Amino acid sequence: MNNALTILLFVQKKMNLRDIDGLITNTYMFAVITAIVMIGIAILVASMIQFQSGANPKDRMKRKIWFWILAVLTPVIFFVYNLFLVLPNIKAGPAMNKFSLHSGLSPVVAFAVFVILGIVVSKMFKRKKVGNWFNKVN
Amino acid sequence: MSEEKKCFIIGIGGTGMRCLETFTHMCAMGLYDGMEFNVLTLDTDFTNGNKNRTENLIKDYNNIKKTSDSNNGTASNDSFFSAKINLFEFVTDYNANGRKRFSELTNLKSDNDDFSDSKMLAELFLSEDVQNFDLSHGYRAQTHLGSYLMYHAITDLAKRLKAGVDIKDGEKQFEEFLNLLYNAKEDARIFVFGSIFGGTGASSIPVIPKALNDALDIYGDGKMSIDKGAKFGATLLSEYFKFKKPADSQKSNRDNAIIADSSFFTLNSQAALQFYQSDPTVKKTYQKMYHIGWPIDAIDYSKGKNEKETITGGAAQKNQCHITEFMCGCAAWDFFHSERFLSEAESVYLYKSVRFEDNILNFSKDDFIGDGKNGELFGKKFGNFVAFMHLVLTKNEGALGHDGVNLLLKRIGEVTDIYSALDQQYTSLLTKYFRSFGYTIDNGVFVPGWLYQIKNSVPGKLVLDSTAYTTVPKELKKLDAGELFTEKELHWKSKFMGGSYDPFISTLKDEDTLPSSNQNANVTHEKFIAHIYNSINASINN
Repeated sequence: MNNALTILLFVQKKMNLRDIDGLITNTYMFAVITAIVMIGIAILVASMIQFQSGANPKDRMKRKIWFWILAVLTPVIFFVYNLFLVLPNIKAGPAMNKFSLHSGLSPVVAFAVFVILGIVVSKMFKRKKVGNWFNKVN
Repeated sequence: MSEEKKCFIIGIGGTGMRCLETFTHMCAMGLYDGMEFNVLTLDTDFTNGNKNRTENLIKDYNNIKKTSDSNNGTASNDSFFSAKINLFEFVTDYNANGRKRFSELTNLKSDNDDFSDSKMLAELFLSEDVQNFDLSHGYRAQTHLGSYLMYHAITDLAKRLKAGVDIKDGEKQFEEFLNLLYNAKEDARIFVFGSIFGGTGASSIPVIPKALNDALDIYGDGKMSIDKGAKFGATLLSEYFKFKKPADSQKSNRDNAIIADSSFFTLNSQAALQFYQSDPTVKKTYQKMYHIGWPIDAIDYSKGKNEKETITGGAAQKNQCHITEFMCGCAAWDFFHSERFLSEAESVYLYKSVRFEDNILNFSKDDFIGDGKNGELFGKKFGNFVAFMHLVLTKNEGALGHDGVNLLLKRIGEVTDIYSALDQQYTSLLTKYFRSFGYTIDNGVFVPGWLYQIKNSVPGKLVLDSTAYTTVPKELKKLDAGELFTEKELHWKSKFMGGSYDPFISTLKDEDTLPSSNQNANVTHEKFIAHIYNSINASINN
């Protein structure tokens, strides 16, 4: 309900100080959701990278690299979302001042959630391809 | 005969050794599931390259199977390396002083009476050159001499074994073999590998059953013999190879005055077959004789070798393997698996033919141990083992010097840790075995192992698609171990654009592919082999 209200506010008018508390909560929720979606994509990418044979198989390293690419992309994507879709809809002044701190923090939260989820998933399924994210490459 | 067969195999001479090489690889393929074999290698030349290659192969096979309880493991079922092989060696030592020539062995040399019965009898049958050539490289196609000497060597050893004096380690192995043969009673099934056109094998096949029986008689002081219910089988392998014709200069030396001349091999084969057809003793002794011939030009073992002289034996005799030897291995399979004709009073001669058309000889899975269920079994075991070989040598670069089995094991380690106890000594030994079976690449040069040597001798298809036998590095890099058959229904499950390796590794995770109790895989390395075997089977599409 809150999310729908926020989106409605985006469309209708610029938000003022009164609306900011709700926006902050929603922003952090969006950050967590973004991290979950990105972890889902990372799992998909890891599964699509095939087992390679030979003395120097590159697949484990590829999975690791893709995990960290997506880890970096998560806050970037979220920051860009804030920059272009949220910030233009906030009135300059106290409302903007109050939100700007959280606009910087929420991508960090998205990144942290992505990495923590990555560690949990990798350790839970260490015998699956996602297990390569935090396994030593040998 | 009871249910429990006691299987004995005797490989004689260079060709017999190469047949044993094939037999060992057939055991590795899993074609002799759950069986135990007592294998005797019999030769005149302990330095012979083919003999050493075969014995080393069997030793490697046994080390792969070795457990803490047994030096050569136990027989397992429905797996690779599933047969148990007990190896026994016997060499008629003609290298020692006073044992190098017929004239020395028989004391004719020291007989001063030119008209003694022994001397006159010897001269009646054997020319002076035959009496005096160096025997350490075999009987050199002089089968009349060879049969006599082989019989003598075996019975002479039996006398010494009975006396128990000055017995060497190798000779004790023969004693053990004799005892096993005696204890097997009517359950004994004895199969003899050898050619009929050369020297050692051709000399020994006719006399070996009688020689073994007489040896037991001597050793057991008249109380031991091979049971009358025991069954004998042998290959009658006619000529299929040739080599450089000996030059007169090489024959000028007394040791080499007699050298086998391969241009007479066809004639030798014909004479031998006439003998087998008419000799009543042989006909009564052997229940089944498998006649194996080669319809195309004989393979030239001297080709491209730049040999100065004809190789008569020794370490230099390391001839390539040939499809006819594979057929001999399949003849043994039939002998040990089929009860047909075993009760006949006289030898039954068996053969099967393969279509030769437009200079092409194609072998399908049905051309080896039979069609129907046997053909399916052969195709499955052969194809799956070749796939395992490619997983180790090609996909995991075992042919390039890496420990391919260890690299495969590391991959498997990502999906299961039940094989973490396998050490590198084991994995490198298994990789080494696959190199003898498949190939190696040495400084960029492709060196064929058994399989590729066999394929080289076939002017046509050998069960699998021709891409399965490629020697081109670029094609080997692209080779998919799951697509060795031409028939698509026998391919492994694969991913679009990704091949079958990834799904194969994933298949190893399936509970269904874990070794089952009826596979009799009790120790970690047996479980590993059985697990790979099951996963390969489970990977096949249908």
